[in-house]
Amino acid sequence: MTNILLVCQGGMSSSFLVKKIHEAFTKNQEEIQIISKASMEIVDYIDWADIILVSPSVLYAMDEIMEVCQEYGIIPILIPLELYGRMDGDAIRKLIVNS
Amino acid sequence: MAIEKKWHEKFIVDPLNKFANLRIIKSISGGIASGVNILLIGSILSIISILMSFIPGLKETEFSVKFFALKELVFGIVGVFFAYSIGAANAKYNKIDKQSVGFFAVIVYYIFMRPEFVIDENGITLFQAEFSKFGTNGIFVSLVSGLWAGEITNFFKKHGWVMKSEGLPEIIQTWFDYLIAGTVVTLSAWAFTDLLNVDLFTIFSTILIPIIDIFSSFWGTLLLAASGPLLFYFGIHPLSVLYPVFAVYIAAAAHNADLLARGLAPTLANGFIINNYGTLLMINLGGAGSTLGLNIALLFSKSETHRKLGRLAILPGILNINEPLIFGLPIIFNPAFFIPYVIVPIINQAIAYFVLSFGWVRIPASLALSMHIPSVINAYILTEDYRAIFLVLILITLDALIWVPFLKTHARQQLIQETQKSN
Repeated sequence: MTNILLVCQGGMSSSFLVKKIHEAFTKNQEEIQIISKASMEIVDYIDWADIILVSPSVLYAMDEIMEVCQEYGIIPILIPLELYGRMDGDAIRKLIVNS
Repeated sequence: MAIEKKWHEKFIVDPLNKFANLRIIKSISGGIASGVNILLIGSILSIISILMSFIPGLKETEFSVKFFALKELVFGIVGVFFAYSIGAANAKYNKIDKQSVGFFAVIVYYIFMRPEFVIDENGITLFQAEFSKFGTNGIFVSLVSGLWAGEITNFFKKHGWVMKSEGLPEIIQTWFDYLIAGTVVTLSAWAFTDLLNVDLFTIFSTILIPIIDIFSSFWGTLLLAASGPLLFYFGIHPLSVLYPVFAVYIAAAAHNADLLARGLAPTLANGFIINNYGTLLMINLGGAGSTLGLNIALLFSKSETHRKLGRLAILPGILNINEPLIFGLPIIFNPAFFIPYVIVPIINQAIAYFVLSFGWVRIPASLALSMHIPSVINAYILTEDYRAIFLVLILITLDALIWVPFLKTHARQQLIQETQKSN
C-alpha cells in the first residue's frame, strides 16, 4: 500500500482533490491511502508518507518543503496549476505513476 | 511578456515570498490558522443559541442563561489557545518539541496578564483577572507569548544549552531537555512583567486603537479587499501573508462583541467597528476575491469548459475555497481576468460599508468567526439579522453580472483556439 500526503496552504482545498485522486487509483485497481494536510504539517506526517504532493498554492514555501522532504529521501511532486485547478485525478495519478 | 514577468517577480513576488517565509510570520499564520479552529466550537454554540432564540419564551429561562454563559466561557479563553498554537507553530518551524513550547507559551500568557491572588473572607485564594483579557481581546499578547516561548527555547536548544539526560526514558528526556529553557522563558516573562512593571495587555490595547482606526477605515478596508486577490493573482496564497493583518480585525471583532455584551445596539453611533473580521467573512463570498458570483456565471456560460469548471468548483466555492477557479480557469497570471478579480471585492466591500453604516444591516459583533461556513449562513450567524442574507445574495448576483462580459470574451477566445486546434 502506498501512502500519499497532499499538502496545500490550509489543507482545505486539497481535501477536495483527495477524493478525486483516490478514485483515479481505485479505477485502476490500485490501492492507496491519501490524506490532505496544511503544508506546515508535513513534518508530522512525513514518516507515514511515501509520496508527497504539493499544491501550487504553497509554491512560496517550496524551498523549505524540499529541504524537509530531502531529509527523508522523498522528492515532492508539485502539481501543475492546471491539473490542480481542474481537480484532474486521472492526470495526477499518471504524474505519480510516471515519477 | 517576459519583461513584465521579471518586473513583478522582482518587486512583488520575491519580497512577499520572503515575507511569507519569515519564521515569525509563518508562526503567526500557522498559529492563528489552527487557533481559529477553537472558535469553531464557539461558532457551533452560537448557532445553537441563535436557534434557541427562535423558541418563544426560552430566552428568559435559567437554561438559556446557563447556555449563554457556556458560550461566553468558550470564547472567553481563546487567547490562551492562541498563545499555545502560535508557540507550537513556532516550535514546528524551529523543529523543536511543539508541546513543550506550547505549554511555555501558556505560562507566559498568564504571566503577561498579571492575575492577582485575593484571599476572600473564608480564607480561600481566588484567582483574579479581567476575564476579557483571556479571550480574543488578548490576541496580540498571544502572539508575543507564543514567539517569546518559541524563540527563547529555540535559542537554548540550538546552542546546546540543555540538560544532558541520556539513559533516561524518552518521555522524561523531553522534559529534561527543555527544563532550562522553560525556566528561563518563565523567569524572563516574569521579570519583564513584574520587575520592569510592563503591562503588555494595556500597552497593546492603547496601541491598537489607532491601528484599528486606520485598518478599519473605509480606505484601509478597500485596500485589504484588493490585497487578497492581488496576492493570489501574482501566485501568493493570501493566507500566507495576511494573518498578521487579520489579527487586527479579530481584535476589532472582540471590541464589538464586548460592546454587544454590554447591551448596546450594534450601530456606528454606539462605537461599533464596521470593518471587523466578521464583516470581512460576511462578504468573503467564495474565497479571496469573492469568486462565488464568478462561479455562478460560469455555470450559465455558453462554453462547455466553463460550465464543467463551474460545476467542479461550486461545492468548494460554497465553503469559501476557490483554488479550483484560481488555478483552473485560470485567474492567476491571467491578464483577461485581472480587472474583475480585483474590482469585485472592492465593490462588495464598499457597498457593505455603506449598508452597515446606514444601519440597514446590523454590524457584525460576533466572535463566531469561521471562514469555511457558507456566506449566506455566516451572514446570519455573524449579525443575527436576516437582512444580512439579502445583502449577501444581492452582492453575489451583482458580482456574477460584473463577471459575465469578461467570461463571454474568454469563451469566444477559447472557442477560436479549440477550432484552430481541430483544424
